Amino acid sequence: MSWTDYFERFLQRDRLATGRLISLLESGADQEEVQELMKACLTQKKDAYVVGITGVPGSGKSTLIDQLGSWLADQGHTVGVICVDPSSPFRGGAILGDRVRFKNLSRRKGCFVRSMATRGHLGGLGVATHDVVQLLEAGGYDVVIVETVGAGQSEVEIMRTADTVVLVTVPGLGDQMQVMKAGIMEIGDVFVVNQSDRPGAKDTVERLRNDIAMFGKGEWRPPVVSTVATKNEGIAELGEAIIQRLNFLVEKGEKIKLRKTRDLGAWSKLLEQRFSDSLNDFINNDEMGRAIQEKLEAGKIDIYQASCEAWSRIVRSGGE
Amino acid sequence: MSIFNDDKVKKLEQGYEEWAEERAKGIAGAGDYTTDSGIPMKLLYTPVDIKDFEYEDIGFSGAPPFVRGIYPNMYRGRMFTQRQLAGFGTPSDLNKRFKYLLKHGATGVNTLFDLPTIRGYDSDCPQAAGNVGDCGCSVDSVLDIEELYDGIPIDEVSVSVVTHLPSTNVAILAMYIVMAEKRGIPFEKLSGTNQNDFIMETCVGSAPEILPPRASFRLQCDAVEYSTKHLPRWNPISYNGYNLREAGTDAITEVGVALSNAIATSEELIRRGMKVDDFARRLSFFWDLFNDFFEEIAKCRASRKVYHDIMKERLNAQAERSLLMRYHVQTAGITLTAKEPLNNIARSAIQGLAAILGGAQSLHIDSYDEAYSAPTEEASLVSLRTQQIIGVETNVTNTVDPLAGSYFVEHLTKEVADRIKAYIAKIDEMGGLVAAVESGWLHNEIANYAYEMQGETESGKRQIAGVNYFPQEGRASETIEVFSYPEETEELQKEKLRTFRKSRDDAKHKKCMDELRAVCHRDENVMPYVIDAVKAFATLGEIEDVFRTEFGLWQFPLV
Amino acid sequence: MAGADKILIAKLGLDIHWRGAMIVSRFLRDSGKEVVYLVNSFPEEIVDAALEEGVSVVGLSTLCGNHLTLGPKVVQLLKERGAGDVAVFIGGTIPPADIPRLKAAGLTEVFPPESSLSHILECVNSCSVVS
Repeated sequence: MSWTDYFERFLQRDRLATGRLISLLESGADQEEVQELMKACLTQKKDAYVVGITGVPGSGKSTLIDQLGSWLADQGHTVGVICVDPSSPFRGGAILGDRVRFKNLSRRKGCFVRSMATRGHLGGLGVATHDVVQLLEAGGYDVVIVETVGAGQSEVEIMRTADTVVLVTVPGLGDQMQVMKAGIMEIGDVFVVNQSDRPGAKDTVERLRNDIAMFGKGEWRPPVVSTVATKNEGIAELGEAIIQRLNFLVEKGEKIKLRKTRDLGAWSKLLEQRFSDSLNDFINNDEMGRAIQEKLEAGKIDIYQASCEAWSRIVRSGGE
Repeated sequence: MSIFNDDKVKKLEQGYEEWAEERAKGIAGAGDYTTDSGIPMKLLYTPVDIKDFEYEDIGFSGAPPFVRGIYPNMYRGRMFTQRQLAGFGTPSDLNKRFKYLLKHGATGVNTLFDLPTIRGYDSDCPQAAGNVGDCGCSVDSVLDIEELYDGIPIDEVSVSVVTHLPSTNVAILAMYIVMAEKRGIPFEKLSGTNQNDFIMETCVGSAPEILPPRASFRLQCDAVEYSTKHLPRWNPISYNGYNLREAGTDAITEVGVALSNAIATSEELIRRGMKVDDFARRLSFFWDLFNDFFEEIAKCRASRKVYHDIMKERLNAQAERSLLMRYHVQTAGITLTAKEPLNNIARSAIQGLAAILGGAQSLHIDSYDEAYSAPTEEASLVSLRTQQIIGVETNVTNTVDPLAGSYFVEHLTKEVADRIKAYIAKIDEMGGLVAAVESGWLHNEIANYAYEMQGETESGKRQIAGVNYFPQEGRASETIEVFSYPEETEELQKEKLRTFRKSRDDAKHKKCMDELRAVCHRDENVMPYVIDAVKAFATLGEIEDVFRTEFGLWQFPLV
Repeated sequence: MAGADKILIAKLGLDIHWRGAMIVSRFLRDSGKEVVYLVNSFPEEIVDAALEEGVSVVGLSTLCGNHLTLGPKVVQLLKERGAGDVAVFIGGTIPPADIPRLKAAGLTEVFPPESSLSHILECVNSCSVVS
């Protein structure tokens, strides 16, 4: 079956069709089919609100998203969620266990939950994520939430793909300063203190507000929202803050800019991936590439010389 | 100063070195051997290995520290209770099986419930569909409890009601109490056991909806507190090492976790104003009996020692009865194979023997069709006979703790006891057992161990006769008769529920449920309120729904 | 690293025994598969997840006797939703006499106790990726 067989139903937000098209994007096989599919998606000219949610493991992000997504659905939105889990760097497999927490969302009409593995992409977000976001957008989901593992580098990735970044933390989680050091504070548009029925919640909120004031983010003042996701408390406030941010972005023309940044970022990643594949191919399969490698191993040349020789070879052959 | 003569031990040490050098060097069988839990096993044990051994370390039978057994006369005075598990179908189906077993000599009844009952769903709930009456008996209300024990002399036989989870335990215990009251049986005559272990609820078994560990632990303690005050002969808790072991742990963890739970329970009840001597004598334990024959025996003996030390030194128990550990044993289900199932009779007989040599108070021997389904009547009978053979044909019960004094067994007992204590200390460092469960630590321990064991079995490192040790290719499995669950159970139970709900006083029912809801948020025992709700004809599912709503649900850690 | 097979593993209904499902999931992960691990779920939820996740195989685990009641339900629901090409495997405490009935109901593979992990992996690998 080809993608065209599923496209009609996909536009009706049929689960099977959407699921299969995402799998096609993930599989990376047959680049031509993927390109055609993405072109068809772009012609739908939809514009989803992309919300990236990240935070430390154990902060209850998934439960939070389940509640937030339900709230958004109650307001009449159609919500797609992508939860990203890390693939094992050695063997490439992964256990995708996030979706068990989406008890409410995964059953609602007009909502869709998909797990994705990072598949070795260093940035923490799979190469295909950008395409999947655009696919869900084309399929008619007006809010697309991307959840990541919160391990550091992936937060920076989200900045490139999301309109709004929500950062989730919990009271008394070790050293708040550590969070700052990672540069995380700079990327958050909305901050959440979840599990705020635990001791120290008020202090955490206060400190966050002070820290944010120090950094500043231009015109947008990132709010700090207290939630207890397991009890569905504070969810409406969070939802409203997110919608407020959307209005802000649209008003200031920022949303369009962000979309362009997103596309540029994805283009750059795609090029990186292609180049990286090409390089590996050259080093491992090309006669000249192997010859250079042998010289390097025999100690006849050093890595800088090897690098120059390889580069001039590649450039000469037109990057093939 | 040990029981051994120092000079003779020194001489023996020399003799051992000589023997090792002259006779035992370079012969076949070199290498490292260990028990299942990793304790090194030497080729030969001598008094040198227990040279610091004092007889007081093990004591006499029926006296502290109770290593040799909790009664002076052990099985001479009181044969181990041959308590075979039974559970399937409707209450009246199971009632018939009880009568069958009692007729054939069983001295206690052990009830297993179906999954919807265990996890607190009425038989007409969507979650119950396809599971009613499978693997256990279906109970939705007090009427079912009445039917289940109809004609069973519950004031004479010992009744084990296997309510794994504290959340459903409070409800079913309440139903049992209400049933007994209706039959005019004084509470002082009720003799039996509940399991009631929060580890079962939050760790050992997964489920679509789980209460938070702290809430489950609270309900666990509520039942123990209530029972201590009102049911003098009832054992309100049986710390479940068995199911934890089956899920994937070794003998040390099995006992370490159960004892940590006992510590946590005791500390909580003391906080509530009770004295340890009020409740300690009714705490009981439930061990698994695996294949490592001597390690399991050592575990049985060691667990009594560690319990004694904890009760005496840590919890300051004064009464002697508080220091002795009583336990039921079930032979290890997971060691029984689907291939060549009749071999399982041998496996469980050996495990059963170890249990008795270890001093168990009661025993369930798994049936040979364990890997297929709940036992058939035939298989159940073989298990009962196995127990009887051990009890009356082997003479092992004629003397107490016959393995005491064995250099190996005493060495191993001490080693196991030390390791259990170290494990408990580790859990203490994490803030106690409830915290260790909340954090997912225990789940991880189980997952890692189970995964490792599987690897060992598949690689052949762990040998199983008939499976990876001389397996017979192409040999058809014995065509044994396999038990089928009665299929009409679901419909029958649903019908009963319809009638039951119609027959109640709705106003009274609502009032009791509201009060139950409220008490969940107070530092007060829920039992009286559950009993009232049961009397007002609340169903099991309705009571559990209150707990689920008021305590909230908890996410099972991903491993 | 494109093209890793995607499998869904679920505990069927109320069954509490998670050891087997966990071991199989870990093994499949270590063999390079992506495993959507569902813990306890009922047939409708399982099928919804299977569709959304685009898996080629649904693996059901049960040790409590509900395999004949709930197992075929999953197969039936998948067919109804147009995903009849997704293979459904089931493993656990399954008596030999029930295996033909399960296969007749459309379950592709049945793994009784002592099925080896490598055999399970083989079966997974021989399932074609749904496109």
